[in-house]
Amino acid sequence: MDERAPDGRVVTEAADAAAQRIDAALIEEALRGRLDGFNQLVLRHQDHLFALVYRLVPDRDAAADAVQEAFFSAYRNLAAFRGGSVRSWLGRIAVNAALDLQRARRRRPSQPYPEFEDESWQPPAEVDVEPETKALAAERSKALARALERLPSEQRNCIVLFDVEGYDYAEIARIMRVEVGTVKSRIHRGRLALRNALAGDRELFRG
Amino acid sequence: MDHTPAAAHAGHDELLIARLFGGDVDAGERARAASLMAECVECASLFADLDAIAEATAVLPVPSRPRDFSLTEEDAARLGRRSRRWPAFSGSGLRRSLGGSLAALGLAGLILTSTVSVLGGMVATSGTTAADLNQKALSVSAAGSAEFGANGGVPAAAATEASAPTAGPAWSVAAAPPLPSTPAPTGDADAGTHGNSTAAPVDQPSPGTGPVFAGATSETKSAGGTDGTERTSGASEATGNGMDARLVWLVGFGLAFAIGLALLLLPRILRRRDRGA
Repeated sequence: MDERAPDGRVVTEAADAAAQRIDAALIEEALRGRLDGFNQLVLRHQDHLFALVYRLVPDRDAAADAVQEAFFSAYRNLAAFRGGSVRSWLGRIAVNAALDLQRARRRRPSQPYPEFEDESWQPPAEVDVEPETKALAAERSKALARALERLPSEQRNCIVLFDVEGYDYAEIARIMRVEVGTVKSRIHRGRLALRNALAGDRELFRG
Repeated sequence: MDHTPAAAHAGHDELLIARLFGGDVDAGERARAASLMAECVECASLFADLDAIAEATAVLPVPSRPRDFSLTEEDAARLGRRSRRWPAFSGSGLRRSLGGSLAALGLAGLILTSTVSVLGGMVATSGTTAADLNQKALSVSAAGSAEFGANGGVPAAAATEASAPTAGPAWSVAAAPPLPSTPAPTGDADAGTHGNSTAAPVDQPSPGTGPVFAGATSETKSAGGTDGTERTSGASEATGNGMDARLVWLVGFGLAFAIGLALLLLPRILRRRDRGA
């Protein structure tokens, strides 16, 4: 079945299988000691991992540090890769790096999320899109991002992993080291909290 | 009384609608949620909002990444990738626990076996110099406990002497140190025969071969002897077997220790070698 990637592209099963074959070959190269092979993997997955970590830790610099740490960890533990999807494997490492960062930030709170007016928040430009629609999408994204950042991190983590990354309840429970019921509860309550936080911007979502 | 839809909705279970959206309801709950959505506009719009929010969340844009995360050669050298996977247990708890157990078992066995050997030797050695101890051993062995012979040097020696026809004069020689490295008392071939219950080499040169051990010698010498002589040779053989058994245990425990250590340390060595390469 085809599915939609976070950036809106439609990913077919065949394309996914081809991508996995390429990833597996690059892992083999890296295991043979070729750093180029590993760096090819970095190039292929760094955007996805940064997007994932940024949604969990909405601080650009901190997220970048966590992603770098995740790639270091992946390089150190290449031999532990047991096959399957490299993207998922890297995703799990990145999520763990993000959770470590969240725990560290909880111990040392800092001023979060200072860059909302950053122009890089604009969604990717699409051809044939009315300027009005584009502006509406940008407003919606900013409102949603603000609402997400106000959620407790436990609820945000679960929602991002479920709605954005497509993990199932059981996998999220494993990653977060909680019961499946806890994950479900966090997702349902988090969605309700998001909706309440967006009460003033509801029209943006009822286009 | 307020009969607006909003007032009616206030008593509705919003979490149930959220659970319906998440596919986390059983048949009864599904029916109840569907009924709420059919009757309440607010509940229906809640469901629609959750759908729109989830869809928007999935395509939420993020800022562009601030840098390239490729590793430099220095990073790679510093990180020192873990060794290539090698048989089944690389980095696993199984390898570590197996290695640890084997090493511990091997070490404990080595210590125990060595202690038994040394203690046996010490007691036997002290027996050569202390006549009263010899007498004591003699009285113990006279009780005729042949089982002891297989277990260690002293009781076996005592048993040997107790049953030997020449028990009296041979006694001081009989308790000669049982360790193979200690030569048997000189002069009396019988001394080697009767006294050395372990594998002490006999001074008397044996034709054709190198050192001859007491067990074998006693067997040849006692052939055709009296009933007592036969028993002597049997006990000596038993203690010789005891020594052999100890050697086997020592080698076995040594091997277990070595394999355990290898299991524990080999991945680290391989990693270091990889890093060196």
